[in-house]
Amino acid sequence: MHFAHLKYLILGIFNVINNAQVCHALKALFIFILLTVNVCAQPVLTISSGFDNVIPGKYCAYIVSPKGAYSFRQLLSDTTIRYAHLEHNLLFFNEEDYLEDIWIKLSVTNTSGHFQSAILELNNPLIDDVQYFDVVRGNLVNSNISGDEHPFATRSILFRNPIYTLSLHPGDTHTVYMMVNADGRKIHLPLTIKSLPEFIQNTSAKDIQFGLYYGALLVLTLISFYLAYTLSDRVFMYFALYIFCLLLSQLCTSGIAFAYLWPDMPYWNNRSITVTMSMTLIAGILFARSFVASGHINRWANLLMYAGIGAGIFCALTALGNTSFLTISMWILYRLIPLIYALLIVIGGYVLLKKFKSARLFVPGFIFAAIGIGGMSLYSVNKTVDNVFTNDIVIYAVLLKCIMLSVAMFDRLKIFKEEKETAQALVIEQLEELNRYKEEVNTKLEDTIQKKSKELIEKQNEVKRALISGEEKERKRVAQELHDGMGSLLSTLRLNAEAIDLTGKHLDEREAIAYQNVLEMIDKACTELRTISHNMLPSGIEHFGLVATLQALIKKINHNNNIQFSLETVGLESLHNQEIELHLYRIVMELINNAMKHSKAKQATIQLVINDNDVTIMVEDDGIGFTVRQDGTNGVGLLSVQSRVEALNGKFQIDSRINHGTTTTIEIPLTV
Amino acid sequence: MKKLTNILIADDHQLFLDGLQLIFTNHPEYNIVARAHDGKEVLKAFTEHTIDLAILDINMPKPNGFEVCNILRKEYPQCKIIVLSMYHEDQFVAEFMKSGASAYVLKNAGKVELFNALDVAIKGGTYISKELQHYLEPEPKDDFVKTHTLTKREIEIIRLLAQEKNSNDIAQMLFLSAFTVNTHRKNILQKLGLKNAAGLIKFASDNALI
Repeated sequence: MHFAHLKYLILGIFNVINNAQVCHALKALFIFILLTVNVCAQPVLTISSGFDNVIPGKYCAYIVSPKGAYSFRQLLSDTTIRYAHLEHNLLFFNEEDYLEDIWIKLSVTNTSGHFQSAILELNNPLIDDVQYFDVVRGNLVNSNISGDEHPFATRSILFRNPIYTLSLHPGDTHTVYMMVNADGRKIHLPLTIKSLPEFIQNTSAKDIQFGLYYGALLVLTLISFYLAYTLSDRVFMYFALYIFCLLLSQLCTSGIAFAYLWPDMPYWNNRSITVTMSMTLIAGILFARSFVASGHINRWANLLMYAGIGAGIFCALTALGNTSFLTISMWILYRLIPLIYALLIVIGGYVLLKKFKSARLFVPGFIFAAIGIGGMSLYSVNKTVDNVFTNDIVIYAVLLKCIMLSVAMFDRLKIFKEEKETAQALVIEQLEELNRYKEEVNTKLEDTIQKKSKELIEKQNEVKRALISGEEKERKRVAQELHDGMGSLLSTLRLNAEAIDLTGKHLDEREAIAYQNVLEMIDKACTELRTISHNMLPSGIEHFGLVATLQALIKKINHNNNIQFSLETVGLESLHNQEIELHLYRIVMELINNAMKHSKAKQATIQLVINDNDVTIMVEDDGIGFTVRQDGTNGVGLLSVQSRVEALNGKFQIDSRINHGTTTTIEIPLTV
Repeated sequence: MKKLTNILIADDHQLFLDGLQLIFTNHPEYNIVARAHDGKEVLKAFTEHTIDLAILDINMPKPNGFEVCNILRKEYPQCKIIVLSMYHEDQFVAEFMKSGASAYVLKNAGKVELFNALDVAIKGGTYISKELQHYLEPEPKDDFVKTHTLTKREIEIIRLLAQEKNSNDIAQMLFLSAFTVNTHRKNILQKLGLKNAAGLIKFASDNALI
């Protein structure tokens, strides 16, 4: 009997006793016997009542041998090869075992009374090469090849993790030999045994978790790409890239990428995780750089980021080389990632302190990232049965990080929008201020211009008044000269002519006619002269005032014309200003002339009314009217009236319609 | 033999006076006792001579024809005054006739008319040059001036104002400018001695204009 079989037997008994819960003394005795018989005795994992997610580490024995040094047959037959027994639950091999084959031996006995089926699962899809060997009734069977050094299709069961099926009849003991090649890296072998239903439950739960996890990452990626496109925002672009690389690297570490994306590319798969993690790192740095806006961070931080990007590119390229390059790349990468995340958190905190508000969610995002990294480290240090890369802490931390960063992106957009609005509001306010100022200046300018032009008009009117007044004076002078000088002369001439005593002198007919003609012509000359001088100087105003003069004038006109004027004056008696009276007379005269000449009216009313500050002249007729031209070209008569009114700073208005008469309204201020 | 009439002739133009004297040469019934060139001389002559009739020019220097006429009317009421003037303004005529002149003759009237006027004056009548006679038509009554009549248009505007129309509405309705309507409103208030539109409405309702 092989020594080992004895040991199993003892252990089997021990287990039976243990299960039967015999007294402690008996148990201690058996242990003592066990220890004295053989320290190398291999324990057997006994399954009495189903599998309970057993961690079979302490039941495993192992040999680390130079690669390819032993064949399976050799291992079985050569009694000099001793298995070392694991003293704890976990299978964890350091990189001192570089380029070694690790042989693991595990025996499982079904002590229950029924058939049991179990799955031996190695929860690390990154193992390069796992081969399972069986001794079935003395025959050697290489029952399964797995690991990512082999195409996915070579696996007997197509599953992301290497698995091995155990079928145990009651009382059967099954010993499985596993040959693991870690390609010289520190490896962690989270080995579990589960019953089939348990495995299925566990797998489907994990699948759902993965589905949600990768789905969430994919959705975030797509949304970010979409936003990058619609907003033309580089940050979203980098963010999308970052999440996408993260998603890829996670797919690689969970074995799903190998199972579905590149099942026939074991060489690439072996490097994909390193490459995608490097890319994630690069994208992460790019994203962080554009997020915090490199302008906000100092030269050294920028330099460190560039260094990180450089290192990432170096790792990605190196990983594509042979195994030793890959090992170097991974060595660098696993030290670089925590450093970079730490750097990003520090930079985030720094810009946050510098009042860059957008970083307020950026920092917690990368803190979650750090927790994810921490989770990996924790698992690799504690050497649990979970996959280092896809354990729950990592998954939730990564998910939270991505969500937090997405929110940070929107927060950043919101802040930018607010800042933009604030800036716009400021600009608008400044523009309004400018407009107000402009208006103010314009108003001032307008006021000044108005004042100046008013002054100018006033000056003009003054000149006009002076001209009119000069004209009046001249008229008066000429009129008086004519009237008094010439008039007297003519009258004297007439008297003298009449003084010629013709009695007793016989004048022939021709002479008599000539004499009569002389007298008549003198008469006519007198009348003419009077008319001229009267028109030039209505002397009545001086002696009797405007009202009487106008009344006399109108009486005369009414006597000789078809048109009948009526005169209405209010308060004119109080007006003791000959200059204004003369102006009013001239204006009324001109309007009367116009009405007589053009209106064909039967009735016309002339009103002169003195108000508090002005005098109004209103002449209304019931004549044929005319179309008033606004440019003031309504005939010489009206033009002269208008010019006189303007000189007096008055207002002038003609309302007329064809066949509806004409109303001329004039308002002259009395302050002039 | 007619009674000799003592005459004063006054004019600031020496030539005219000479001419005037010339036409009296053949009329011995008129005796020119004095010639004056201004108002002062006229008044002085009256103190020196008994004058029945004065032929005055209006345009004499100090005191002028009006003033002289008034003084003479007061101090020498029996003396007839004949105004011989270039002015054909009816106010002048009216003024002189009011202050008691016997005749108003235009200077260019001619010898015949002048002697005609002298005759009438001496007989106690009044004479006005033919050219000016139409001015003797009766003056319009005084109350025409005092109580101001509203024109048709003004009454129209008062009615519209009473209908609560504003100046712009009225201007549009009457095809006038707002300025003209406002002037009408001012004139109406002034004519009626009212202060504001409220008073106007009251006036309108009092006078059954609305």
